[in-house]
Amino acid sequence: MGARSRHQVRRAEDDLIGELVHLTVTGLLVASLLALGAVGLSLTFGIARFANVAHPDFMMLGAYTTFAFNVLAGVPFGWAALLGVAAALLVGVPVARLAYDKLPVTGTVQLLIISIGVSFILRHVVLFIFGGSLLQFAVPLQRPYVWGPVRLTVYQIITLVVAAVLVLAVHLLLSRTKLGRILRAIADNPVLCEIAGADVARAQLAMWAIAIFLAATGGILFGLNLVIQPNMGWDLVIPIFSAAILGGIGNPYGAMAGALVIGLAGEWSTLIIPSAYKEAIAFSAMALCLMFRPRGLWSAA
Amino acid sequence: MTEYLVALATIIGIQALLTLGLTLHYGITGLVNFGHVAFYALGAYTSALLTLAGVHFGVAMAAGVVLAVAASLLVGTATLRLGEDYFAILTLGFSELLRLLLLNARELTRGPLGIPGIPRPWRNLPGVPDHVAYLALVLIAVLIAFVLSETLARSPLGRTLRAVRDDDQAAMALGKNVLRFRLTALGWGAGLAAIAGSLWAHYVTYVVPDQFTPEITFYTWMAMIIGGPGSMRGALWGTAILVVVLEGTRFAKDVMPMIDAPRLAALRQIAIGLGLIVMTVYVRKLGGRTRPRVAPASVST
Repeated sequence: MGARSRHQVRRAEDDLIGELVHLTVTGLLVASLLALGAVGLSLTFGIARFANVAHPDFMMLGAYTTFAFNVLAGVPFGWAALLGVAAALLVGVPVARLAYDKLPVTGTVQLLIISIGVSFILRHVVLFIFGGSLLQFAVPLQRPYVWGPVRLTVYQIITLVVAAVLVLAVHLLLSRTKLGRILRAIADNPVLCEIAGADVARAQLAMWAIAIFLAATGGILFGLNLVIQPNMGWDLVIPIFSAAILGGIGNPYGAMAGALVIGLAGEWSTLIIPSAYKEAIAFSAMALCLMFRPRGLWSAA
Repeated sequence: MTEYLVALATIIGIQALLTLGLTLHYGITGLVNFGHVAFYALGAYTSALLTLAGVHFGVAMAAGVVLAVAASLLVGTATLRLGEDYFAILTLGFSELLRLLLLNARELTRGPLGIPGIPRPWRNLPGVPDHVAYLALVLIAVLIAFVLSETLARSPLGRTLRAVRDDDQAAMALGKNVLRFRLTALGWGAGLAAIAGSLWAHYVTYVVPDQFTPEITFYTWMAMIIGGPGSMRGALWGTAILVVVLEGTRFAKDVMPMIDAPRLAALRQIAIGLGLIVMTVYVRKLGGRTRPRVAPASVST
């Protein structure tokens, strides 16, 4: 009897570790998707200097343009994703330029309210065209690969790899290229940058393109793993802003770390708290952190 | 027809209370509250649950106000020391998490099923139809709220609040406790929103979390912007215009019979988004800071 209960204890421990590993992997997946949104959001906040509430809707846009090519036009998913990203850029960049750079407004509050308007319009134009039902890409169901407690489908592996590559690419772009140097300079001091002769307008165009490219890719990966619906971007507003704020909004590196914290904390919390409150946990963690580090975890307070 | 006009007037009255509250927040004090609907929801649910438990309507409404004010002070204390972008996003997050909580705390709120059968006060008065009696109740509440807000805005306290809005550094230099004044304004506005929520719950006699989406917050912003932020009279006019226009779009299906109902609803939301943007661009009084010269956290490698 004693031996058996000891055996059961070990089983329970194995289960707990297995569960923890599983949640960590899921948390990393969530973090990858959040990071693709939060890095772009942080970049635009640092350079355009307002909180773009419509940013997660660019993720939704990418998912729908890809859906149009993949399902409606019958293009294989890989090509459809490339075309979808291109289409999202063709739609998203002019929308962002028109709404945020061309209108005769300068106040942060005005831009914030305008971004709410942009979010309403993007979501409902998509709803008007595609309807409100849950959609999926035309991709075959895949059996997950199993390594011990880790179970990953090929789509989840693609998500992790693409997110890691893109985050690395953003790092290289910001730290190694001339464009990156100009972008960092604008974030520090736009006036000085303009005086020094940098092409601020072109850098801003590049910034929107980078941010929307990352968001659209994130949206496509989101749709690949879950479902597509018009509110998918809006539903991500809180976790994405939480990640960006936690990392010190305006700082793309902080946003990556913030996404990791929000993704993992949310999944791990399900061990003790019903999963419906996952988002609440992430948000409260962020709010709590702000009380002690008002500029995010990684800022020099 | 009269019944429809009475209903319209009742809705305008309830929405006017929300707009007056937001005018105290943003128009007078400059607080970018994107979570106004949270205080509305707290008022509605508290009042609904308590009256169904046998508490008198007036007491239930007062309890809702107390709870909403307490919540606003808690949120305000935690977030008002941060910049206005943070405050906007954190209040938006707060309102969405409250909705999540209402959706998931099924034992208390019945979640997505909602709470039906909320009693309506001032029923069966001799000689007065029920809906007219309720309109009278709403109008009395609006009148009291209007006189109170107008008095507050013109009082020395109101002047201080405007000073805090226009230049918080100067107000601080004059020895004003800026945080305390902001909290005062936040509390008053939240209280008005809770009264609106309570009146709404007892008017439609049914509450469900779906009624408390951020759309309510942004309708209120639009009403305030239309009337010109900072003016209590403008808040009333703006609300009347907004509600009439919103209601008017319901008749759009008679003009465009070829479009189905969900698509028509989407068109309405697109119009709201466009309206929000156009109003923001053309209403110059909507001050707010211009884009700050130095970023809150700089991009660094």
